[in-house]
Amino acid sequence: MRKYLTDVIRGIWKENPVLVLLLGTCPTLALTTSASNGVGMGMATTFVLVGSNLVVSIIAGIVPKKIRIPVYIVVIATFVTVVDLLMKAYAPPALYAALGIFIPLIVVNCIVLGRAEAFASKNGPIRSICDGLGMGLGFTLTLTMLGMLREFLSSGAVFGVKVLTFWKTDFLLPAAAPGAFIIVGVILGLRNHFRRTAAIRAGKLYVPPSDIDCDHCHICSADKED
Amino acid sequence: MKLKDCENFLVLGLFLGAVGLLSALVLGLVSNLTAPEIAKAELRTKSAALKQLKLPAFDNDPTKETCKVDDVTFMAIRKDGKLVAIVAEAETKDGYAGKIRELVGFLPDGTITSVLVTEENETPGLGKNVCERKFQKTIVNFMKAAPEGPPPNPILDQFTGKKAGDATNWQLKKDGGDFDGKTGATVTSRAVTKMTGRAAETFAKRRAEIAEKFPEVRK
Repeated sequence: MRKYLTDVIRGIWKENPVLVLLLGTCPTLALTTSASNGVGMGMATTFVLVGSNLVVSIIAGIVPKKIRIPVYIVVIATFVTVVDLLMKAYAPPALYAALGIFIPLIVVNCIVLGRAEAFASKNGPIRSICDGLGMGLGFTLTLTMLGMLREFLSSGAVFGVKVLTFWKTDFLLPAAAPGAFIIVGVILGLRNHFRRTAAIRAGKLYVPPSDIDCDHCHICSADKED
Repeated sequence: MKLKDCENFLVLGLFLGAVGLLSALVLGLVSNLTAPEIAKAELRTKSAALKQLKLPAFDNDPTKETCKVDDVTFMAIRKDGKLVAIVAEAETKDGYAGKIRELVGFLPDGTITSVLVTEENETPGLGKNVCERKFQKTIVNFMKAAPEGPPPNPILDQFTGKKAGDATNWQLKKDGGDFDGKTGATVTSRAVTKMTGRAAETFAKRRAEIAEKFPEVRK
């Protein structure tokens, strides 16, 4: 039981797909203009993740190694099309209009194929569902948080409800693409800063991995060698 | 030999084909199940859009009875079989970010009831404000229901009450026309104004062609 819970929680914090794995950045930057967009996209991705993880973990034993990627993509594409049809039928029209072109793009979202390949194909169905759920929840929570932040900074509203009523003219930067990059960058920096401080306090000093130094790269030393 | 390590391309091809077939079956099933709901949802969206046009009460499906003149599509709005209004759907590529599509409601005599932009991709905060009719919920009023009728929009509301065929100059005031634009969103305002003008002028000048389809339009 504890194992399953760890699988879920890992996706939400320790291996958060957006903030730690840095996967699925396209919907993260493009769709978080409002909190409700974030919730919608996150839930659609969660559904696809859980479904594809389940199916992949079941069929992983019989899929020939050589064609596993195309088979996984077919499975994922099937789930994405199902989500697309379901959202067309039941989601609020405004939400579908906003997410529209990004729903088919879930097929190529690295989180989904990444989890199918890295987790679901090596673990049982129940653990795979937990992993999909955790990753999906992590994605949803991060997207919602980003959406709320961007919506609030640009118009003083949360979920379309204006909190700061005196705020009449929208501030465009946080709602536009550059604002998304800036805000995601600041959040990533803060998260890394806190993690490093925590590590130092725990007695572990940060040592850069040996391949992140100047020895293996020749971009700036290229002239010297000639 | 186990299937997992199989390298025979025929087996691999057949396997991939089987997976594809299975997925097609699932998709066909889901598509069949959701088709009526999707049709209903589309109709809901469309009738919600038509409701925002301040048209007289109607009971037909306007999308069934259309008439295309140039690139403007006219739809007949009927109540008990009698024509009560015409809705024109116009499109322009002159928007700041591509295509803008709108619905213009006309009474049979050519008076514009209201204008609603149905499709745009304009800049949030600038061009979007020209196109959007949105009731802003705030922390003070979010428990109350939205007021009846379409939310106001200072640019789009200028067109209400203008009559197709009158001597209206369908341009912005800065181009010598009759309408105000929005500062910072001149391109979008210009596109919307010209598009509405084109719809109105098509309605006025090509009345004969429309009347072939909807005889009640004839003066």
